[in-house]
Amino acid sequence: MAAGGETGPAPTGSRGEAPGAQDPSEALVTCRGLRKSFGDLVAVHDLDLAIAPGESYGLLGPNGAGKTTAISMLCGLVRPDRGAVWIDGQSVGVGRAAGKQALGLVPQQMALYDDLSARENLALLGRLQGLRGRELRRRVDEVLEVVQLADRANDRVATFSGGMQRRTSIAGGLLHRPRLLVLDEPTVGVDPQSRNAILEQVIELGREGTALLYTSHYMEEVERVCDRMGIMDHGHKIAEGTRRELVDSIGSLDRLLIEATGDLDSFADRLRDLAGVEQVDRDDATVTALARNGRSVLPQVIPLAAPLDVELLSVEVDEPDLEQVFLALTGRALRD
Amino acid sequence: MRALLLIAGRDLRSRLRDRSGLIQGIGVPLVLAVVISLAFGGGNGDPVRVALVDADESERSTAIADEVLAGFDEVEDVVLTEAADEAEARELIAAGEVGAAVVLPEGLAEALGAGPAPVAAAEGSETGPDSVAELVVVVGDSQPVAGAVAEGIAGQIIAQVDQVAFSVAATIELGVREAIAAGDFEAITDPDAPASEAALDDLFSEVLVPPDVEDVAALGERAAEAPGGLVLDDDADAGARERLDAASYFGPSMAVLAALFVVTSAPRALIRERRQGTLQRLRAAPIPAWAPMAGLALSVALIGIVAMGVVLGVVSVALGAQLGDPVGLAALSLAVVLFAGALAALIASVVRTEQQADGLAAAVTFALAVLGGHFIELHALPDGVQTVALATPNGWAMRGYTALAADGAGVGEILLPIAVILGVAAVLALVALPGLRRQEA
Repeated sequence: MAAGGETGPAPTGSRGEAPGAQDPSEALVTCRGLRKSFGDLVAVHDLDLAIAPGESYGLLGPNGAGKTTAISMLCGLVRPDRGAVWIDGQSVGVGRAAGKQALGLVPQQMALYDDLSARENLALLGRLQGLRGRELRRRVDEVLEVVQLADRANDRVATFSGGMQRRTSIAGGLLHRPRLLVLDEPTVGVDPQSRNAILEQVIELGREGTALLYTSHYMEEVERVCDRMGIMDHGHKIAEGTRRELVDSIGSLDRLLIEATGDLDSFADRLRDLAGVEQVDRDDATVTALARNGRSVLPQVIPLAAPLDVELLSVEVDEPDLEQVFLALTGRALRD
Repeated sequence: MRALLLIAGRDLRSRLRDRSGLIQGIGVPLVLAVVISLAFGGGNGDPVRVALVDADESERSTAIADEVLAGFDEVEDVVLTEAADEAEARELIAAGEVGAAVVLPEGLAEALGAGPAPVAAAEGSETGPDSVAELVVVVGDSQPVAGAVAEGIAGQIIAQVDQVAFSVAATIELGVREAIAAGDFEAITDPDAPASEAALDDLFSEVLVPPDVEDVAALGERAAEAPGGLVLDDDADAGARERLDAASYFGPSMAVLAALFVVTSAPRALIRERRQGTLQRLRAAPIPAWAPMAGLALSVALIGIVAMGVVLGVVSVALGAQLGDPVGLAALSLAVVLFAGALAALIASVVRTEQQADGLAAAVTFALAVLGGHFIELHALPDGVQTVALATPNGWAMRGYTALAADGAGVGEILLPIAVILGVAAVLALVALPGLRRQEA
């Protein structure tokens, strides 16, 4: 956040470009000091956010945390009371087209016209993005292939399942090849199979270089899709980082649960000597070890067993999840 | 602009695919226009009240007036009232106590010929009027039925006078003239020497001979070519105007309702777009902020224009409605659509749900329809309601449509109603704007 706080949109250049203090090469998206109130309710408090090109960023938080309001301000749909947004070096605001060419939005609702076919919906959205003629038709066909709906292109959206509608909605955000795709809770109301398919498609988009801003109250989705994430609660961003960084921030340890037979006392002693292992407990046929990074310790466990004639029956690594992070930070469960 | 047309085109396509929208916006008003035109074509049940004025107060005019009054004694649907003069008749019309008046003009007797017809013939003058008296019919605003009755009465009077004049002329020219020429008429009319019965019998047997058919026909042709003693004053300033039949009134009335129904469905559509997220998606595109709402507004405005055109066209072709100057009609109708659009914007700025939008649109449209004289002609409404109707743009529209059809007005003569309608539309739009901006930001 700018020093001293900003009372209005940050000053921009004559073409609405980002001020000189920001290095556009480092961030595709920059939000500074975004704030929005609805009456007495402050929905978003002074949000700072930066997303690098090609990065997948997750915004996690319970219902009512302010995620959708933050997204709406970022996309120029809601006017912030304070703060500013830049996308691809251009200032984004309500009623301004600048910056929106780089942005593709997949709203929380399906945001499709039920009485139109998938192709007609996409053609309309493509025309609004400036696509024309042959390029538009080709691009519509391409995105329908991406979301695996090419065989239903001419069917009315009203006849689609929830998952198919969601995939069509995602296709609508991809038509103009945006540099940033914003997905606001894209799996709400979708069956598990479709949800998995959607997540796979989103992950693939990220691999292809599209930056993603993904909001959800499902931590497992955010963990699966995103490189880095921010956690919001009551309008505040309370934590930010990779999953590892977030977990480390609360001091939680991974737990290795090892079931084995043989000289387990000696095995436990050897485990305590491993770097990164904080604590080892033994209980009948189970040895439990707490470590900073269970995944890095795991490869060292197996070589320990053989010389001691210990037969390993099973090894589990139980990592702290974001639920625990949220609980540690707020004292509440992530899901209410 | 391109975004505006794309969004308008999408909405139009959806509305055309949605047959219920077409039925509501075009079919229902059209059916109403036909039904109401047919139902009210025969009157609305109340007796027609007409005033009769004898401005001549001669023996002749009194006889005519008495005969007319007597003729309507047994007619329940028409009530004739005597008025002292034309001014009083006009006051009665303005007060709504009568719908029209028939005025027997001063000079009526003179125009029809002084004294008995034979005296005039004896002096050698041609039978026929020395001057022409103009019988005046005064009709109140929006009083087509009373006006028609008054014209009918006037026509009857003129026809009767002409018949009497013809009969007298026929008698004089074809029978009595010969006797008069012979001096016999002087003999039988000498008060000092009354003729004997035998002499009278001889005279009238010679006088009242059956006329030659050719002579009667020739007299009839002369009578048709020469002006009668009494004619109808067709000067517009005297109050006579072309009558508006039910179709000519209720056709535009239902067209205005069609526009209101169609265009005030826009708030519902806007809320639905907001709910289903399509509005959000449109606003996230690199298009002007005003384009989504403006596109929706353009779509409903076009459908409103079409709806009005269909209703007006059908009532004109199928029911023979007289609508007046096409340019004036188009200008007035466009103003109505713009007012409906502004009203829709105001509704959209205050409602939150589709149900609220439907309810408020229906209530406002219905209230405007009642106050503006769309179901019941303005003159039949209580005075207080008629005053309130002056505040309704659609009421002004009905005044404009009536002027076009009944008075033959052009666009220049209906600039006031158009200005009032557009002025109200501008005010409504300005009031709606902050609310709409608040909802979107």
